[in-house]
Amino acid sequence: MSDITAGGAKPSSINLAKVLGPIHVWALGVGIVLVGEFMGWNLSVEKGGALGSIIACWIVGLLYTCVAMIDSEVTSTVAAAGGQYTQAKHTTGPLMAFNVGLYLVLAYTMLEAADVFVFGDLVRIAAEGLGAEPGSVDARPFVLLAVAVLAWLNYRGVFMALSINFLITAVAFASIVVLFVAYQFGVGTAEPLHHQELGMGGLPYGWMGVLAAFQFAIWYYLGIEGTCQAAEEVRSCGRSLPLGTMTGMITLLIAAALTWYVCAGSLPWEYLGTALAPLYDTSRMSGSTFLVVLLWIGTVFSALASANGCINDASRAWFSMGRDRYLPQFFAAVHPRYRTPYRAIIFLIPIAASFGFLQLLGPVITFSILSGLLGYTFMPINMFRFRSKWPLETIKRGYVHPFHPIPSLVLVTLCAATFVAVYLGFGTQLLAMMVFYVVASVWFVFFRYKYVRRGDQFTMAWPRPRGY
Amino acid sequence: MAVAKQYQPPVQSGIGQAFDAVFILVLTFLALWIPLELNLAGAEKGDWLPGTVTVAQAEDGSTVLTNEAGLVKRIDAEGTITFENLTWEALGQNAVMQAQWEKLGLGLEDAATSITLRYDYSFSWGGLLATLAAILAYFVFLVFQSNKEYREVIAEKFGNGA
Repeated sequence: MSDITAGGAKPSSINLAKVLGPIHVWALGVGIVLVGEFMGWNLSVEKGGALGSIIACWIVGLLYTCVAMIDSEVTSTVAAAGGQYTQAKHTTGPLMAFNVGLYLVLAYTMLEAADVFVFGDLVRIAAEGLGAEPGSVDARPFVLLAVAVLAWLNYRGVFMALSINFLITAVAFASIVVLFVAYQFGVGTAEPLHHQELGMGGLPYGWMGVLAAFQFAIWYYLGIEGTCQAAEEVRSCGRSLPLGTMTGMITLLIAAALTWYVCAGSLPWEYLGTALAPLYDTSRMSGSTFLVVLLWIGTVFSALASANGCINDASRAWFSMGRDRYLPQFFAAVHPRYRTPYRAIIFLIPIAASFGFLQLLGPVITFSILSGLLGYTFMPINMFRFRSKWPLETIKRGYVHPFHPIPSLVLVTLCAATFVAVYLGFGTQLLAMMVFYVVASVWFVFFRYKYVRRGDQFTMAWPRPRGY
Repeated sequence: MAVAKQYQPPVQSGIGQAFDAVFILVLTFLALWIPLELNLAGAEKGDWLPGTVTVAQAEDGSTVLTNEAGLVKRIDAEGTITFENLTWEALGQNAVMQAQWEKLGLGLEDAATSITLRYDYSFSWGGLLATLAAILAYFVFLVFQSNKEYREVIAEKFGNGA
């Protein structure tokens, strides 16, 4: 059995700093995702009603639990930035790795654009709430300000960026718990919850609506797999990544259940399904100024934490692809003082900012969901190839997920169901966006791969894979 | 164990690197713009009323929906919506629902606009199967091509002999 002693980085004078612990991994994963409880998940209510949404939430939660289990096993042995991209490079091959890298970069960059768009809108809502003339506050300068500050934070160092993410994510999560306690136990509000009276028990579209709700139930968890991007910067990869990822997943399941419970008991489902910030709206129904301010802060913090985590993850994936020459090598530079992939960070910022600035929210969300889903579809392929090429006795893993191959089979089934749901929602847009990945793949095979050193891509100190 | 000949990639110029970065960037923008330009639509919401509904076409081109409670929703040729006999009861809203809408600062007309739109999930089996087949074909291509490239990587890393 081989021990994993080598990092994924190629020999170089400067590497990324190994400074992160489990709380940073938790902050990265939950920080990216938690904004989904503050906005976005409720579109699943519009698709299938309140009951349909919670059914979809739990089923899609199972999908993500499978993703987290598979990710934790493979990443606990792949101590390199790039996450699933680096996994794909070692288990499946270059073209798959290139595509997985693009899924990651685009899912996170698009999510970042949506986050800063929401942040700008929240500032506008607050300004109008404080007396500004409706329509007189332009959200776009706040979008640019948020992107600039977060980019600077990421540029200056990963430890500070993710320590701040831990603090603001914890405050955002606490705001959900406080809202639940206030409603459930009548603390600070006399307003009761009305699940039955608001029609929680019905499925307005039947089971077809439940299936359609999968499309946006993804927002309850989209991005938790991003914890793998920290693999090269954690002090103990085998311990911190599984611990941070699985506790992050548990946090999200709790947050999703609490969020659904208070929102579905307070807002008519037809309103809830189209609200911009449903938790904030639920706090407004309480009549408590404290809760309104707290949930506004929670919503803003969640949007900023998500954008911050997305900058971190997208840049690590872009950097890793540059390091392997899948993309221009220029992006493989590490800052000599701050030890961050600063060129990748700076390059991706204007892209996210421009999408946020242009307010193309619909296509941005579509692209983010599609890219995430394609990445999850890769995971069962990844797991089967990993276990067959390196059976358990051949290399030491930091974590071995139980019940293989059941999680992989469940995952591929749920991904197929979610593709149907995405087709119901996006129709032919789905195929139009698939064309992007096909064209990018053709470009990679014919024009880009020639710059890639063949053997150097395999950076792990693993034995030769079986069957090759 | 035979050692595979090491592949020496060409050196890419700075301009070439810039071109490749811009190419991916432009491709991403196109992927976002094309669905908008082609007006590719997903699931659309249609007009709906609670209970048994009759739909009629008026002489002026308006579409008129009427339910058993006497609620009428009229959509004229310009898309302007008007309601007749609009009450909370006719919208299927109980007292609690009504109170929550009002706490949100939304009146009867605002609520009616939200409540009387529902998704139509009818779809073409051909379109769905074609989409799923395209996704499957894409993954098969990725795995097949990757496997070819992977053999080359392993041969260079570990030598030709297994």
